[in-house]
Amino acid sequence: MERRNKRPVDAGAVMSRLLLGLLVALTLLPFYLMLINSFKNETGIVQAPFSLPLPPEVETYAKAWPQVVRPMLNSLLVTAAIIIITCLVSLLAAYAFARFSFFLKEALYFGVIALLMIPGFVLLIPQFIQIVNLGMFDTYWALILVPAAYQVAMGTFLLRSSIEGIPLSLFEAATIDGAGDRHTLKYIVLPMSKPILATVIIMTGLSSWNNYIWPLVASSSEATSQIAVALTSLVRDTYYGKGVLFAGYVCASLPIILLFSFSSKYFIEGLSQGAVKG
Amino acid sequence: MQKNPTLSPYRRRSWQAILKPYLFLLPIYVLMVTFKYIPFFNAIIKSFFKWNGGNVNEFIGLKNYTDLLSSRQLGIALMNSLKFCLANIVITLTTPLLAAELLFAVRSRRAQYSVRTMLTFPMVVPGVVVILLWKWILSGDTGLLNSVLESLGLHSLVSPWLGSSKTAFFSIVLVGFPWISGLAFLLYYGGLQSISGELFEAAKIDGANVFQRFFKIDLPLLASQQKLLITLAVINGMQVFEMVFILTKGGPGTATLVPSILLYDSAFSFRKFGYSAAIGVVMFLIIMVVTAINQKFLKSTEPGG
Repeated sequence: MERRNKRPVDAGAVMSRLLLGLLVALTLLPFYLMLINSFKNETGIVQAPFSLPLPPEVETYAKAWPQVVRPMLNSLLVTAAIIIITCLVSLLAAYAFARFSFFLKEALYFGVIALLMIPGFVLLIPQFIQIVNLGMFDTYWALILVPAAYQVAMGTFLLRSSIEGIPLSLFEAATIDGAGDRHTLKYIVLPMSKPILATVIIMTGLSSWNNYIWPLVASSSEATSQIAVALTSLVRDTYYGKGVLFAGYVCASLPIILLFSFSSKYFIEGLSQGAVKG
Repeated sequence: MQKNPTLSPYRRRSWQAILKPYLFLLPIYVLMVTFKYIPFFNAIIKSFFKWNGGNVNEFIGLKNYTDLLSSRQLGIALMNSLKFCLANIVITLTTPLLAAELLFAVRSRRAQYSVRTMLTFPMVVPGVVVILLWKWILSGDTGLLNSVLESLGLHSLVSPWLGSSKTAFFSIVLVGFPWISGLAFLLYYGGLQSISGELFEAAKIDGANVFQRFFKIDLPLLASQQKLLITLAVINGMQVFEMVFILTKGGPGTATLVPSILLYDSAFSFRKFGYSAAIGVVMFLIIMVVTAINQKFLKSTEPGG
């Protein structure tokens, strides 16, 4: 609070505000251009990329929407499924690691987090072969289960430390009251792990919605196509040109931007926490 | 469904109680064994085979590895990876830190919050959208950068940024300029906020100017963030795929070739799955070594980290 004291404005402070403003403007510029140019036709974009779209062309959205709606719904389904599986599976595993002692516990824990640092592309080809062998190529199973197998490692890692942080007395009280594991999980672990679960959900959701490389190899038909891949192959006509592409990009970005604007606090915390703990 | 007796600590543990933890771990192990461990060991085995993904499948010993190590491509790809890592390190240590310092100097809490939100915004736009926007900015014919240069009368500077082997690499690095939105900025800013206000007060009383404060207080206290960020910059630099794949596909020629592109192309363009698996194994070993070095570097300088 002491930094609120009014001080005479000096030149350095003005300069640093201006510089900050410039950095914000440069950061947001591409997205501003995406938005305004999504309401223009090709000629308008080429001739005056920086000017406001007056009058706005709405036809670009009519052309882009049919191309992105199916992939967006597919991605929504896959993202939701990955989030649910990740939360459930990691919660169960984290609970076991945090609450029980058993033979080979730490070895099994190491087995879960050992492959955390292997970059995705190293396993890309063998995973592709594995889903072909399992008859899962171009199915939702492949699009959901393989990314989930990545996310559960991080989920278990984050949730284990969060569950271990819950006061023991709470668990003891629950045991005395005769609560089984199911009740303990539901009434103690779940409510106490909400902040870290929010982190897991945000990280998992963002990376699933944005996933490009895995759908690129695991999906081949329209029925399973995912939004990130679909965006790279949008079809434009000669008149509206890139206006259609920008309209498609806006549509694909909108769901997460809306979520972000309602809960930016959680997002920013989630985004930084995931990496610090990792 | 309640079976309370097994929970009592005074009884001998039943089989059920002994098995219980393993049942909790069953789902995660089914997932990881099926989709990570089996593929992982398969990749090692297949790297000793000549395999096109179908009928051609014969054991050839170390030939994939000797081919790979004697090809010029791997060296070029690793060199480009190294360049990406260095670029990432330089970026992570500069503009995000500058932005965090500038934002931290803003007095109003409200303004701080909204500027932070604006600077974080690009993180929630799909990465592919960001890359495609920059593809438009940098493209040769009707690209934004070129038309801005044209309208400023700088015709001599107009260039096919992504299409020329001289500029392709730096054009890819340019994506996301001014590179603030991201973890580095959030960590620096969080780090500055957690520095005790008394330190800044003391510095002010001692008459330290902004730069003295930055070098004597901020920078030393942000060292642990910087170490983490350098590690991440290196890991991310080695994994570059989408950006290169969408913008240049590794070209022109081999100007932006990276290991992930080499691996992808060997498998899906040339159907050399065994060779591709060998690239994966080599990359795995390299990344393990780099990670080990990183861990050591992090541990040795950050006790209790």
